[in-house]
Amino acid sequence: MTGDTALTSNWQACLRRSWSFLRAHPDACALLAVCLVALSFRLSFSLRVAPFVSKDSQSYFLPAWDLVHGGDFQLGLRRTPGYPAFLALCLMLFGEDLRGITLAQHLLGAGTAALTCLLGRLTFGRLSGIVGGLLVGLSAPLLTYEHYLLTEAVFGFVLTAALVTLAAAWHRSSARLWLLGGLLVGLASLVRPIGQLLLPLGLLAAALVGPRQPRPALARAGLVLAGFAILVVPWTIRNQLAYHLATASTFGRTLIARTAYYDHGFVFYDAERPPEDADPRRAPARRIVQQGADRRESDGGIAQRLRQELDLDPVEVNAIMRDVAIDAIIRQPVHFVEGTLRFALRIFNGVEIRIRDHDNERRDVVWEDRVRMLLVGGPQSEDDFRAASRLLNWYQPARYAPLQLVLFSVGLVAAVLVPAWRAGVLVGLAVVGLIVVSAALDGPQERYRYPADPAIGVLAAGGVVALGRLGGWGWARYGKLPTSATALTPQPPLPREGEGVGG
Amino acid sequence: MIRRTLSSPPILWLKRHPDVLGAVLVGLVAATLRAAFLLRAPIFVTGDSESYLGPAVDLARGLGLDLSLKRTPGYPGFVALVMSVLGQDLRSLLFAQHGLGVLTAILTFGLGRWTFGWPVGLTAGLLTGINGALVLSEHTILTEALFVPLVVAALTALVSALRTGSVPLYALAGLLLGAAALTRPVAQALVPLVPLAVVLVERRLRPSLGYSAVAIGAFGLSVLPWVLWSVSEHDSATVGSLGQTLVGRTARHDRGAFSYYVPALDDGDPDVRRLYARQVLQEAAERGSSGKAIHTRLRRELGLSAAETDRLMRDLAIEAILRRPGYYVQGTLQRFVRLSLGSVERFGAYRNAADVARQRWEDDESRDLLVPASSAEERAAPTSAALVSLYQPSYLGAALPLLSVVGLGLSLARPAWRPAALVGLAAFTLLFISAALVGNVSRYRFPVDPLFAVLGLGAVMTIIQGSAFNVQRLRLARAGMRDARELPATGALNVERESETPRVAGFGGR
Repeated sequence: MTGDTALTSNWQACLRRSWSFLRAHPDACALLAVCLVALSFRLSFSLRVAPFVSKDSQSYFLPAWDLVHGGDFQLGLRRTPGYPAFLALCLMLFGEDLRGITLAQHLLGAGTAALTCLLGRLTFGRLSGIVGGLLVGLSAPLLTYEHYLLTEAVFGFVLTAALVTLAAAWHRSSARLWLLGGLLVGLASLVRPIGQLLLPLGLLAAALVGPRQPRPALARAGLVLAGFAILVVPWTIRNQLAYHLATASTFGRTLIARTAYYDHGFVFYDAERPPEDADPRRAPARRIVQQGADRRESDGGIAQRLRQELDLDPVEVNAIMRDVAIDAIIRQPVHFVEGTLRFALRIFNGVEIRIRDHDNERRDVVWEDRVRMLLVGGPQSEDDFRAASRLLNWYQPARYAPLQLVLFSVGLVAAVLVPAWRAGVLVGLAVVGLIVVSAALDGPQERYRYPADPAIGVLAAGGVVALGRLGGWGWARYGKLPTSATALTPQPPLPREGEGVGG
Repeated sequence: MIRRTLSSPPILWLKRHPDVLGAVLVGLVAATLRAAFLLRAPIFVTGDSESYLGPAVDLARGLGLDLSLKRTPGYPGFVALVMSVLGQDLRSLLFAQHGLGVLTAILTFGLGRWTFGWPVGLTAGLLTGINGALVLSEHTILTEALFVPLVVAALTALVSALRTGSVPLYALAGLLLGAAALTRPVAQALVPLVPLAVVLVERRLRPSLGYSAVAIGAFGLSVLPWVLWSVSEHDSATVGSLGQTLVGRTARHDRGAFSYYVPALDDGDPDVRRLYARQVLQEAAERGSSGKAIHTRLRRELGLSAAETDRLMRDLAIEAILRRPGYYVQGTLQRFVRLSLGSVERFGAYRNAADVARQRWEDDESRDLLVPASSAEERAAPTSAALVSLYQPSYLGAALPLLSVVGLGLSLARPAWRPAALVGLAAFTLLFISAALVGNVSRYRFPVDPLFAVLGLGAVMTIIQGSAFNVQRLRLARAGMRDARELPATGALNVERESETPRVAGFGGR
């Protein structure tokens, strides 16, 4: 063998090995590619801009700060401990610099992109996984909210992990996966209470998957419930002991925000027909809420007035706000449903992200003295700011909202119709549930959509895959190719344990 | 339950892929330590940082590259690239440098794995991952942060190439060596080791020539553009400048020991400029001036170009050395030993040096990027100091260098371990050249730390295995076993078995 030939064959052998590795591990390569794209995108952004903070950030950060510095773990009544615990971990690992937290959140964001790739693989196949993963990896709102001291990044990661686990459990019917799914749903609930919504979905999936026999179905559902309870019950017990309130969270204030601040037209107190209340504090409370709604006061302002004027403790304030809001909703159910649907659509559509708006939000935030020094200013250089802004323009989902809604709907319908894609129904229901419940309980805050973005991306990519298959089938049926009725039948992402391909 | 867990798919997968497990473990440990340090400590700079950061900032802002003759473009290019991609905050640069630190630890695992086996690779990787001196160097704006991973990567690629006979790996090793030379010119000293290592392993002329040609060719290709640029800009076809370095070694580090100007000998020199330069150098040697200061003065007063000045300084330094060769050799050996032993790197010293350098900083473009320590960083100083004090190779004193000598000897003695000889030769060459040309500058030992870890631990592992083998043989002999000698040879590490892995055909290699 001459030197030249040897050299060429050596290079060819190297290329052949790389190609055969790629063919042998296509999922691993896809996952790696999605991770690399997401990570590069995030690293290019993360240190150019100072961390974003909103008015809510302090209510999560202070308990974490106090926990790390040996103080109490004082958490607001409506807050759950998941995110403050994450913040405390970051403070312990990275120190007091807030950039450590956002770096960790960006890493989680890259992890979310990887999980989205897996979720797509488990529901509609590899292509939808890669497309969904890349969409998440390059999404401007996800990147932006990973840069906030807010729950979205962590919640999005845990939520997607829970969906991946439940989808994997759906295909493999493994007891460990059902239990892990329950644990992750519990964890998601401890990060944001709306995560509890996944519990009925998880139970439903556990009950419906596999042969229709009650005992195995109950056992699977029991595992999901047990996993959920392991994490949520201790916190509920703590709330019972501390506040005599056996729930993981409260929603009195959020309901008032939804009905009195974001919505118009709810009547809390009608002076001409005052309601007869058994509780003497209820009538003045209605008046205060009505005044707050008329003056467009925030839920915080209304809660403060209730506390001061009626001399109530936080638990009582929450209970009375909840009752007043529910009364108003019961009196005007159509208005509530109409408003909820309107808000849900607004949340689904999202908004275009402009970095300047988020950077300016920092100016409105006042932190307590002991942590104020941690709030650093804007970016150091205008060049960095412009570069970060350019990055956010790569993919803004809000620009394609109508298309995304159509593809999402197609994906959901395809998941219902095609047995092999049925796990996609779980993902679709989770998205619909999260958005509708957020709209019903909280109001039209666009950021409530972002944790569901990975699932939306997967469903939309699934819609593309379904349309592609349909087009292929149509071409085969009516075009030049020989007719094949089986062309529409997709290959399942993963065969179910104990079942043949196609389930 | 435990048995079920151990036979679960992820565990089985890891059992099938121990190298992935090792790399992930090492990477996690290294990344955790660096994550804890990254935002706690202020940015470290030294007096030399300015000559890299200034040109890098200009380059990142599109103002071109204006480097002195002494500096090579690798590090400023890297800094400019990081600034363009990650942002102009120097914390981004530190992030990238610590990322390279994690990579160094993983590469050390690979180097140990492919020379002495998995346990040595894992331990060496972990030791490199928690090496406080390396963490401090990654937190400093200086070449070592890039040079260390490049050297380790080049050696890992070369060792892998020696084991597999893969031509692409030889080419990669050459390219990495070139990148290392463009970061710190001392890496050029490693180039002659490539053919030597290939001959040691292949023991045949034809494949040795072929592989060496590929590696050296790739090295040449990577440094060629810079050499051509140097020729056009400075009329000097070199990477780096030996003159300034040698004068720094002889005039500053050996203050007053070398004579550049001896009236009785030199007054007859017909070259007036040379005579004047001698006097300037002698004066500087008595004052302990830096090579850079002498270079600037000579250029200004003699009206020479940078390259001419450097050549003049080099010639005079060599002449001075030749006047006292014994002293030079003795001084070099002393420095070599001191450099091998290393010194404990202290967090406080780095912080103080950074404060001084920041005050003396002259470059306007880059000055704004240097921010003093924040109150949070001040509060975190004890934690930061503790983090970099977890482990430093110098804690072990002479043990590690001596074990490395043993490791080098063992690798030369046993054909299956011959690729490890490259690691030892590279380590001692780097130390010796640094001692000979510059002096005892503690940061010049950092590139050698991962190599010493691999060699030292390889020696320890061999000694342990050898002892265990002898004990076993003794027991068997006592038990009356006649043919105890039939036991497999001592130290049958994984590497020997793996050396039987099929090699890619290239240049008729074995």
